[in-house]
Parts: sequence; C-alpha cells; structure tokens
Amino acid sequence: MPSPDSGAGIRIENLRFAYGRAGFELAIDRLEFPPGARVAVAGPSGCGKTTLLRLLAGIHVPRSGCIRVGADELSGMSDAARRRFRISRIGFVFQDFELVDYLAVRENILLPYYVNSALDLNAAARDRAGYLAQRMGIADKLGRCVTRLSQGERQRVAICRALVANPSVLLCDEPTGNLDPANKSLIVDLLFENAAETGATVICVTHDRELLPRFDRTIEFPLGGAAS
Amino acid sequence: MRSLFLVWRYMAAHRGKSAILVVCIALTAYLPLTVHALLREFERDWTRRAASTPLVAGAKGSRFDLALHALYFRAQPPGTILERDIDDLRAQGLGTVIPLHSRYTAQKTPVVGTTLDYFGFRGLDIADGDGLAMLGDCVVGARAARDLEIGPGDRILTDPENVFDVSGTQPLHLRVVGVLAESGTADDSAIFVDIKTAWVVAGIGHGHMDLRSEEADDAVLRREENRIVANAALENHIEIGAENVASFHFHGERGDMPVTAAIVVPPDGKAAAILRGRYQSRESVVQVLVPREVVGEMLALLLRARAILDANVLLVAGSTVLFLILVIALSLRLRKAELEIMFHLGCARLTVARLVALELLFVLMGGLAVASVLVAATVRLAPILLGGSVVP
Repeated sequence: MPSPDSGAGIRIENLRFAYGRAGFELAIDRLEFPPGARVAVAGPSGCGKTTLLRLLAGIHVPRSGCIRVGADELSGMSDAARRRFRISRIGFVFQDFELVDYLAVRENILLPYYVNSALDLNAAARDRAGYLAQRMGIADKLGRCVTRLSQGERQRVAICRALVANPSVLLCDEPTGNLDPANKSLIVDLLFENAAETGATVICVTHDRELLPRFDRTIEFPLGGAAS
Repeated sequence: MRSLFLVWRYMAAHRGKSAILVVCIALTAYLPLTVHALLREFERDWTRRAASTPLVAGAKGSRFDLALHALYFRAQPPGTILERDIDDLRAQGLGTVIPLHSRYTAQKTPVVGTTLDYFGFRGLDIADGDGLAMLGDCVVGARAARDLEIGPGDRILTDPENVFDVSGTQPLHLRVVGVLAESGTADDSAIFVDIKTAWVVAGIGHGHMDLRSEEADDAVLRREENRIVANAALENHIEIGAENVASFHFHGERGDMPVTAAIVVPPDGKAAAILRGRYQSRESVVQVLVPREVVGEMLALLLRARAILDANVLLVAGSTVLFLILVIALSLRLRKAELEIMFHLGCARLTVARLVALELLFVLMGGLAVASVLVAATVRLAPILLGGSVVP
C-alpha cells in the first residue's frame, strides 16, 4: 500500500480533447488546482465535466496541451505509465459507482489491489479497508454482496474504494447523485474528512448547488475556452 | 493468486453459465474420448485373447469366422473337421491339441465341448464345486452362472436346434458340477462340457433302455441275428446319470465325430511354423491359422472405421470451439462494463485478458475433468453392460 501522500497540485495548459468525430471538443487554456484544495466543478450536462476528470485520471489522452499532476506530466506518458500513475496517485468515485456486482463489499473496496500487482494486498491494506468501512458506517456489511446494498451504501463503498490506496488526488463524479439531502451532507463530510487525513486534493463534479458552498472553490463549466 | 480469486468469484457468481459451458465441453469431449478408450480396451482384450492362443485349426473357409469361433464361441465355424483330423494333428508331435465343439447353446449360452486340457491351457480354476468327471457334467463360466442363476447341483437344459423339427436333436439336461472363477474373458460366458457330452447334445450319441431286455419289447421293431431294430416308441434318456450312463453310446467311428475347431499349442515357434506349413496345401481340409494375425487384420479394419469417426469428431470439436468463441464474445460484451471498471482502476489490458483466459482455462479443465470421470465410469461399466468384457 502506498504511503499517505500529500495532495498534488494540478495544472492544465492549452488542453484540447475530442471524442473521435462526435463533434464535442473540450478546450481549456489554463486551469490550476492547488495541493489539498477542495474544488467543485459545476455546470450543465454535456459540457465536459466528466471528461475533465477522466483526463486528469489519465483514462483519456488529450489531443494536445499539458496536464501536470504534481511532478507527473500526463501528456507525454505511455499507456502503461498512465496506468501506473492512476494506481499510485488517483482515487476515482464514479458517477454510477462502478462496483463489481459479484464481489462483496470488502472485495470491492480492495478491488484496486486485486487488479494491480503493483499494489501489495497486505494486512495494512485490509486494515485500511476495514477502517474506511467503519468511518463510512458500512463495517457491518463488509461480507455482503454489493447488489444487496442501498444506493447510499453503494455510494459509500465507491468512496471507500477511491480512498483505500491513499491517493493524492481524489476525483469524484457526482458522488451525491440520487441521495437524499441528509445522506448527501454525510457523504461530503466523510469524503472531506478522509481526504483531509491524507491531504488529498479533491475535485468534485456536482450538479447540486447546495453543496457548492462547502468547497474551497467552484469552477463553472463551460469555461471561457470550453466548448461543446 | 489475486487473478485466480477474481476468476473464482466470477464463476461462482455465474454458476449456471459456467456449468453449461463445462457440460458442453464435457459432452463434446466425452464421445471421442469414450470411443477411443473403449476401442483401446477392445483392442487390448482381443489382442490378449488372440496372443494367448498360438494356433487355431479348423475347417477351411472364413479365417475370421474360425478365429472368432475358437476364441469367443460366437461366430459359427466355416465347417467341421473330424476327430480323425485332430488325431492327425496330434500325430505330428508338434504340440498339444485341444479340440472344441461349440454348435449348441443352453438358454442362449454357448455349450463348449472340449477336454480337460482346455482349462489348464486357459488357466481356468473352479471357484465353486468340482470339475468335469462324468458324461453329462458341465462347468459354468462365472458370468453365465450369475446370469442364469445356476450353481453346482442345478440342471440346465440345452436349447433345441430347431423347435419345429421334432425329429431333430433332443434337448439334454446338463448337470452343473462347478462354476469357474471369473477370468474377464469369453470363458466367463460359456458352459463347458466334455467333448463327448457335446456330441450327445448334438445327437450323435445317445442312451436308452437296453433293447435286449424284456421290458424293451414294446420298443423293438424286429430282432435280427446281430442287431436289434427299434421302433418309434424307443425313448432316449434326456439326462445322464449314474444309473443310465452305461447305456450311452455313439454310433459310428470315433474318428468320424465332428470337431468345430481346435487350439494347438506348439512348444516353440519352429514347431508352429512346421505345422502351418504342413497344412497350407490346397488339398488339406484343415486350415491352421495364427489368431493374432487374423485379429490384427480385423483391428486394422476397425482402425480405419475409427479414422472416419475421428474426422467426424473433429467437425464436432470445431463447432464446439466456434460455440465457445461465440459464448466468450457474448460474455465479454456483457462484462464490458465490469472490465472497464478494472481498467479505470489501473488494471492492465493484459491482466483483463489473463482473467478471461483463466476463466476459459477453468471451464476447459472442468469440462475435461467431467469428461474424464464419465469416460472412466463408462469404461469401467462397459464390461458389465456388454457382458464380461468389452469384447462381445
């Protein structure tokens, strides 16, 4: 398990990205996220918020421009290097949770360890999974299959999984979607608390305007250079 | 290990799909594997029985029929030779000659007339009861005894040659004196009698009341100086016992008695070659053959048939592979989201491929394991189902 990493600063310059010939193009001339910052990304659907998160995670490759996360320059990385970067530095809470249905809660939380030989699935990792589950209030469901959980519980499992490898950047795509107001607030509290423990930078895409005041900063999409 | 764990969890969660794939592969592999295994057993049985029988002598005609008859008592021989021919063979001094006479059955089980030499030659031991001692005695093969539910002290009636021929051979009650130990060969499914008893079964010998006595007057047509002619009222004994065994007799010369085949056991290869050479002339009414060669020819025919079967199996296997490819392609399509999750979490494409390959490997191994168990069970049960050995 990687050692807790302080939050990494992120800098984007002259970024251009497009999905094939679909017509959508994301263009960001300059954007910066300071280390340890809690930044919300808001805006209408289809304006490129999720695409930005995937670019920052190294899942998508920009057509041109520069993305620097800490000391890592993503644009020039090979596929394997971006994968290693994603394993070691990024925690991702996906919009639809992206849990594996046939695995139990514990196994879903530890999934990054199961699929990456670079991560050592040792007692410390298992302890951390248990600790995160306890903090998220799902410790009693660790052995339960995720298909038997409520939406809120599944959301917490996804957050635990994003945090389990102590990422320096936590990317969250609508982490409170489909949740009631009480649970929304609770999830954000838990997210911030756990990120604060490692000093991770939090970038959170959300449609929920009520949550925006809780972030250090809000970036409204489309940006000046962003187009759809 | 982590990959194995994930594959195991996936297969356990999709038990139905995994089981169907395993069954498909198992059934596809089962048929050709079973055919091969049974043919191997079949070849082994045939070769062993043939190899343990150095030479077979019999009437000229189909070599296959003669070999099958002498080895398995199943096919009808191409003809009969005479006891005189057996004496000629013995007179060569080139080996032990064991005559066989097997044309009749008792409750569909072949009745084999032979001499005591046969039991020694085949290494047949009596498991229950005693050996042949008297005319009318029989010892029964282990499987025949089980199937017919008979044992020492029981009687078994021979089958009439033709139920509509009232003037034909009369059925004879054979007295079961012993049961042979199981040998796993055709001997298990036969009833053995002394060759003279076989001649009685064939109607060449018989026993009846003493026509010289006064009680037999009703059965006498006329008395001449040196012979008595019986009428239709004369009844033959249908069972041979101590009280009537002396009345049994054979009409004609012993040398004219029929023998359907003979096993010849020469002391060495040279004697066997000399014997074969002496009976190769066109004029000879007896042929001497090497069962191993004849069975080898039959197996060669069988192997050609197996080649056709193998080609058919290849087609089935090909279609199964295509079916598997389709299933895997559809499975990957269904699992696309799940595999994308793993990729998003930093899993290498190669690792994803390894997971799928491992899953396929498990399914293949499972299928082959199930097929192996089925094949082993089939091969084990085949002798029971087919009767004593794989060879009918």
